[in-house]
Amino acid sequence: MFIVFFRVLIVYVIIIAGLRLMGKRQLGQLQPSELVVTIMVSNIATMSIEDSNVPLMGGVIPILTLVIFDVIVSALTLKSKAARRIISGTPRVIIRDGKIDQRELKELRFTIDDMMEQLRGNNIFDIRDVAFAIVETTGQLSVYQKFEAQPLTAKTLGIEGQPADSAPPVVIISDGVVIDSGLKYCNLRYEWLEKTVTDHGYNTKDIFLMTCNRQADYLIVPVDKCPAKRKEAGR
Amino acid sequence: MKRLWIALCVLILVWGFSGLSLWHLTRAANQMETTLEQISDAIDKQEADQLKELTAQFQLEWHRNEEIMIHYVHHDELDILTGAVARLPALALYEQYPELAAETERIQELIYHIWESEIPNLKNIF
Repeated sequence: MFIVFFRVLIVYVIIIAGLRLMGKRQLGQLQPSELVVTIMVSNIATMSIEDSNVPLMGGVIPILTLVIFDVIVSALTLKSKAARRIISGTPRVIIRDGKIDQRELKELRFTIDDMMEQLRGNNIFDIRDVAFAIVETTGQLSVYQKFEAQPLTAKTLGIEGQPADSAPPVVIISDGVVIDSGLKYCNLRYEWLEKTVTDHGYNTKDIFLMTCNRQADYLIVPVDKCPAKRKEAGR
Repeated sequence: MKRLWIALCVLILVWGFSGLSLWHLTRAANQMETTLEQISDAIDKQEADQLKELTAQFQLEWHRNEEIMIHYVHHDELDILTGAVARLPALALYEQYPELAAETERIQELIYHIWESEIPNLKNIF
């Protein structure tokens, strides 16, 4: 069984290194070629882990080969538009000005249910609100709504905001540990943090989560077992 | 671009390992075939002492090669060969020549089969 243990460790390290080499996209939205590689890598890895009659190299070599192939194909698609079209395909428009392109739907083998599901996923329940709906090469549906159906934004209303309005809150204490990069982002000092936390009757160790934005607008979530006030606090 | 260079380096390593394993297998197969032919000749001539010496030498040769082959050949195939090779010294010691000749032939075939199945030709790929 020691053999299995060490094999799992070795194959695990190789897969992690391979996925890192392929980049973050491999973990989120997958292109067809990337999906194939991911499925194949997981199958091959299991084979060499489970069957001790297969030499470890019999699992390692195919995994490395797939990773190498994927990186080379990615480099090729980056340089050549034709290669990109062949390997990843092209985005296809399925709704134009609220009208469904049925031929395109058939060609993509996209059912009405698939389309409606994806539209609902984009918060759209009426096809007439859609200016353009595009099926991306990853299979995701991107939707651009008609002007009258677009949600109100500050830009539409002509409201100008302060630069700080676009700065979201960040974590400055996580599980009792002060996050220095968060404090720096908010342009706040450690002394301010200490004072604020103490004012609410806590130590930094008593805080499960504290978020804050650049206007020093904060939220404190204490640890459940904290003997002090167990209420969330904020400004 | 860095990823591509790393991938190309890994590719060279993969090819290097594949080439090295094929080179080792070819060399080992040739070496063992020579010894097996010597055993066959000795069987024909019924030279008992030489047979004992040659079978022991072949067993040693096999174990040395198997240690490396285990990294790239399916273990089942190697296990069959190890079992067959283990019989040779005893067959030579008790002068069971017809069986020894058959086992020698069988081992030759098995080694050839392993070598042939590792050659990257179209027949093996498809």
